[in-house]
Amino acid sequence: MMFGKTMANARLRGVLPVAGAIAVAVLLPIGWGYSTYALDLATVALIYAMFTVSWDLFCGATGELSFGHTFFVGTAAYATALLESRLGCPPVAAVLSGALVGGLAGTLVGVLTLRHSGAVFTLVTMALQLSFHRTLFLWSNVFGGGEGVFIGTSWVNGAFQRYAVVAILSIASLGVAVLVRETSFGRRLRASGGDVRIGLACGVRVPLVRTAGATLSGLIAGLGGSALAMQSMVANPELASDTTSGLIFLLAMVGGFGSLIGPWLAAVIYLTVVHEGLVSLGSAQPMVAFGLLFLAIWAMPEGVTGVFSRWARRWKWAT
Amino acid sequence: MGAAVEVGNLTIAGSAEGPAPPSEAPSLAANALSWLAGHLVILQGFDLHLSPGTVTGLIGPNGAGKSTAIDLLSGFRPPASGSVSLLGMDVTRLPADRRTRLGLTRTFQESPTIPGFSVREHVQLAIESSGKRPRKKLQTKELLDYVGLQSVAEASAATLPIGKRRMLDVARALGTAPSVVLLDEPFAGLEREDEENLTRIIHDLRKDGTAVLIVEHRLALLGEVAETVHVLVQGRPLAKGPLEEVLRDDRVQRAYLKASGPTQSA
Amino acid sequence: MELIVLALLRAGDYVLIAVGFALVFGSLRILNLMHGSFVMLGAYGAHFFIAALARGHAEGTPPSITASGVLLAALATSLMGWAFFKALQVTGRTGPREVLGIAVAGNLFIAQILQYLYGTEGLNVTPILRGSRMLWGVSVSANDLLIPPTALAAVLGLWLWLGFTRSGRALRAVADDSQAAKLAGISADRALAGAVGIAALLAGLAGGLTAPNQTLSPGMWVHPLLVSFAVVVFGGRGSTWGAVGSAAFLGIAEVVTSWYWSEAASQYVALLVIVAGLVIAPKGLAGGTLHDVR
Repeated sequence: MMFGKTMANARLRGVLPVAGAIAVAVLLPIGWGYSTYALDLATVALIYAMFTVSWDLFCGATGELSFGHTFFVGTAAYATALLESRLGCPPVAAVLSGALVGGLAGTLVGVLTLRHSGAVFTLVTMALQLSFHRTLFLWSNVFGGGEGVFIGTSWVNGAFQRYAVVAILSIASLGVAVLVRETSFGRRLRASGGDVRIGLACGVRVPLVRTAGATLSGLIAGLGGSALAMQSMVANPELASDTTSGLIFLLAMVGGFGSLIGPWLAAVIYLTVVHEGLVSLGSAQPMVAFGLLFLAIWAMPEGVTGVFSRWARRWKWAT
Repeated sequence: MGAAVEVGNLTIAGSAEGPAPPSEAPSLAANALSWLAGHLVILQGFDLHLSPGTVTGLIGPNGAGKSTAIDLLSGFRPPASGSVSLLGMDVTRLPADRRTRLGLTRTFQESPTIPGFSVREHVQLAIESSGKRPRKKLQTKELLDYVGLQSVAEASAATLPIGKRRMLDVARALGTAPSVVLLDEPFAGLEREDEENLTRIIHDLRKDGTAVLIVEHRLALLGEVAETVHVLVQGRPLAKGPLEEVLRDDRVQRAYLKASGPTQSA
Repeated sequence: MELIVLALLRAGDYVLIAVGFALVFGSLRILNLMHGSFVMLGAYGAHFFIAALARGHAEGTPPSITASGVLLAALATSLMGWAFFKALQVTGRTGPREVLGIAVAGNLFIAQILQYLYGTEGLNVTPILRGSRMLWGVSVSANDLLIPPTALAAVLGLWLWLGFTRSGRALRAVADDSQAAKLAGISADRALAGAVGIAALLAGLAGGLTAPNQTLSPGMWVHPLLVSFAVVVFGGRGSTWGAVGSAAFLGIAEVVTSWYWSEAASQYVALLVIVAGLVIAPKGLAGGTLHDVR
């Protein structure tokens, strides 16, 4: 790894987004005056940003679109909830363990999808996610069915403290993702999706790299999932549903496939600004929200950052 | 197994990691390789023996099984029967990336690129992933200069014309510091300037002790670099020897005429 | 005996659901992720059209009304499916990743629309034939008996269409060699939109016919999609007959599992087929690889 050159690149492509993210995180709850409501909303938004960033870390690199991200989120959340409530595990340890479970789920998905790409990959991940979701209902004595598993003690007390912790984790997730992308491993991961012949011909251990990437993605998503469970004090099937999985998918795509900062911002903006903006629509809100996402992804398949970078390039040519 | 040789300031090929083979072992050897698609014989009875510092050609009419042979040798397809040994080691069961790390590398007929990668990143990936120890590692910039791609280093590889993509494929292969290089129609679609570049590169590879196998239709260019040539017709080896000799062979001429379309000799 | 009858019904069910999906995949190598939504739209559409047509009938809607409702729903679904792919082509969104993303968004958007219009659960569709009949000594709901013949008719119809009509042969031409087909003046785009239209028709029909057996929910697009995918994974890329056999087998396997093990276990069968099929034989079962798929 040519560290010097990496650092130079990182300055441009890494530090800038992370700095921007920090600014966003600090300013975000201001809009609602740092009230508890605002803080909770922002916390959830930043957790979803962890979901989309971890999705983009793997999917943006390999080009394979996963519909099963809630498999990571859900397994981690339920692991955390079960550890805390049934086994009396201290909350922080439960969260960390949940993250590890998410990572293991990532490894599983990585291994199962090694030779698949395109729509097959998407459908396989969908099948895995559905399997888990179904299991939550079929084994409702363990998983609490529709109600889920409740958590007794939170890991962090106080809305502001929780927000601070989540903000740090969310920004760190973005940082890790950016760092990975700029390093040799990131290049290898990008060579491990779609047509892997070139990667193989370079000597890239495609199966290993892909599995490692999926594990990391699952780890971060799992951490977010555990945090989310702690936030609402319950792990419920909504966390593992196809709608949530689809939402993560769409937010990341609309944000900017492969850009990392795009998905991060998209989640934050959607779950705060858009969410609040549409609240007046009442029961029509999810329909309008998904309608907007549908239009957005049709109009901008590469996402918002894709559109920006095309404008930037045209600007460069014009000036 | 050739020792690393400096060409200018650039070491373009070196010894691979792995045990030192017995001195009479070839760089790459294949024995009775075959491959079938359903009941159709694509390749049969293919033998190969590449010594260090040699350039060998593989020719034949279209559909003769040449690319399949490359796939089998490089590990992109498992043979239906037969074996492949690299530097004295049996690699028949080893996957392609493992073979690359052991010193066998190849280019692709379509010269594909990794989406979103720049030219430089392709070469960088090869240098990083081939598992060679840092002392023998190349510098990306020098390799790009050597191959003649320095002017497009930051360009998105997918936007390059076919000729430049071919050279990129070659640069990528060189980046793995190979002992054996398999080139799949490297001269197709090249401009004059790159033809000369590539010829020079192949000569340098030979001087380094690398073994090179080239599948090619442009026979005049092949003749400038290859000492021996294998002829494959309908999946079976037909003849072997220096290019001129082989082309004078009646059977070879008839095979080319029989196959649809004339061969291309630049 | 009851087992056999139930298995037959489920098999017919899955054949009708999956054969359109297999058609699009087999001929154009495209896995249409909207397929589950076609089934869902057929079901909800049946409810809508039956309710619309039945206005004015004081009690008990006659079979002619319900049948018309189901057919209209299927036709509407077919039109929507065709229009969707046409719209994709017209707006230049034909890249595999683009289509994937838009299809996922479409599924979720449609589900949300239906949820807004009808709520999350408890919707019912009137069956075409009410009551039950005896089949080989087993009591079956009369409506269910419509399914296997419909499935059979659909498969035969497809076979005839592919083999003997100009448009059917055009589709096969595109499937075999789209370059050559283009030279012959056959448009792959039109073939795709047409094939999807047919697939949507059959899926919508399946939705409408099976709707009386279940309460509709906006999430019901997932199951038919995965069933169809499992059928294709198991049957490999290939003929309509391969998909038929595969769908029948899946239906039978599920019923058998439910019978001897539990209802819960049977829900995993399709998923197991997908995962096992792709992991154990990743190069594709029954010939053809699932890999050169867009």
